[in-house]
Amino acid sequence: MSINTISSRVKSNYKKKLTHTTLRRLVQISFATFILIIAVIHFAGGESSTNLTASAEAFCPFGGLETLYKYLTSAGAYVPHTHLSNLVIAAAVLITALLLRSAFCGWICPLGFIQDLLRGLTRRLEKRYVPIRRFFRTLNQRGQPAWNFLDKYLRYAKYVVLVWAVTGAAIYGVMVFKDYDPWSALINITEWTFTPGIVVLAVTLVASLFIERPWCRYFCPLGAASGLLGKFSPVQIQRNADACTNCKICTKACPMGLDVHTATKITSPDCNSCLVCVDDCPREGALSVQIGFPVK
Amino acid sequence: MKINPFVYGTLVVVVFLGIILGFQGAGIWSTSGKVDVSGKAIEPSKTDVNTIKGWMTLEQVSTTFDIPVAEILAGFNLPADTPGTTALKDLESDTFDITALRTWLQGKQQP
Repeated sequence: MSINTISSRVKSNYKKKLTHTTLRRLVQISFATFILIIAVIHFAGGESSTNLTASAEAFCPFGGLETLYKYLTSAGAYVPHTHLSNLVIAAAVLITALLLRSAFCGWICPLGFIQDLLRGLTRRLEKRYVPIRRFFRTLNQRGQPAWNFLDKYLRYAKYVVLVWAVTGAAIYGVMVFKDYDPWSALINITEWTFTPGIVVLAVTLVASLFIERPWCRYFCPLGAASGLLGKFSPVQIQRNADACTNCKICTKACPMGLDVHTATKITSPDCNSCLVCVDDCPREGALSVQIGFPVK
Repeated sequence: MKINPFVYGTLVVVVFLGIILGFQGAGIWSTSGKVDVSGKAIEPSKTDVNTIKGWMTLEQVSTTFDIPVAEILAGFNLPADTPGTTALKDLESDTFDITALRTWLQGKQQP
C-alpha cells in the first residue's frame, strides 16, 4: 500500500469523524463545564462569602422570561433568584431563535446535553449486549402504538408549562415553576433540599434512557418559547425529494421524534436544529440547511 | 441559499455569545444581588423593601427595619432558635420567601 493511499484513508477517516456533530458536542461540553465550574465556585464560596460568586441560577435563560414582567412593571426589580444576567441570556436565546431557530436547545443547553448523553449510553449498551437490544426491541414493538398516541398530545404540555410559569411569576412575584424545574433542582443539588423538582429531574433522567430528550419534547417551557419564535427564522432544514431514498434514517435519528423523511421543510417548533438528521443522511444533498423565507 | 452545517454551528455560538458580550460591553450585566449594575454594593434600605435580597441575613433585615429577629421568625412560623446570621434564601419554605417577607415588612411600615 502506497503512502499516498494510507494518507488519503487517514484523511477520509479524519473527515468522517470531524462532522458538525463533533463541533456540537464540543460546544455542549464547553457550556456544561462552564455551568459546573460556576456551581462549584458558588458552593465553595457560600452565600456569606465576601467575594462575588455568581450562582448557576444567574445563567438560566428561563429565569429571564419569569422575571421580565416584574422588571418592566416594578422599575427594574426582579423576582427572587433572578438578576439582570437572566434577562440578557433570555434575550440571547430568543434572538438566536429568531435568526437561527431553536439552536440553543440543540447546541448549547446543558440539560439537553445530559439527556443526549443518557440516551447515547443506552444506544451503546443496545449495540453491545443482545439482551438489552431485545428488551428495547420488545418495548418498542409493544409500547409504540400507545406511545405514539401519548406523544402527540404530550407535546402540547410544554406550552401549558410556559404559560403557567410566566403568568404565575407575573401574578405572584415568585418563580412558581422553580420547585418543579429539573434544571433548578440539578444546579441546587448541593442545598440538599427536597423539592418536586428532584422527582421531575429523576424521572427525566430515567426517561432519557428510553426516550430521546423527554424533557425537551414534552415539558421544557424555554424550548416552547424558543421553538415558537424559531418559526419566524429564515433558516430551515430542507429535504430534496429527488435525492432522498426514503430510507427513514433521518427520522430514526431525530432526537425530537420528528418525521423528517416525509417533510419538504422542517418547520416544526419542536426541531432543535441539532442537525443530527443532516449528519446521518447517507445521500449527499438530500438534507441541507437553507436560508429561505420564514413562515412558509 | 445553502449553509454548511459547520458554519451554522459556528454562527449559533457567535450570535449567542455575541449578544451576551454586547450587553456586557454596554454595562447591562449583573449576576449577583450583592451589587448593582455599576458594581456598587446593595444595602438594605428601610424606604424600599425591594432592596431585600436572598443573600441578606435576618439580622440585617432586623437592624434595617427595627424589628426583632424573634418577631420576624414568629411572623412566618419559623423555628425560634434560628440564628440571626442565617441568609434569607436558606430559610425559604412553603411559609417563607423573599416576596412574602417584603409584603410583610411593607405591612408593618404602614401606619
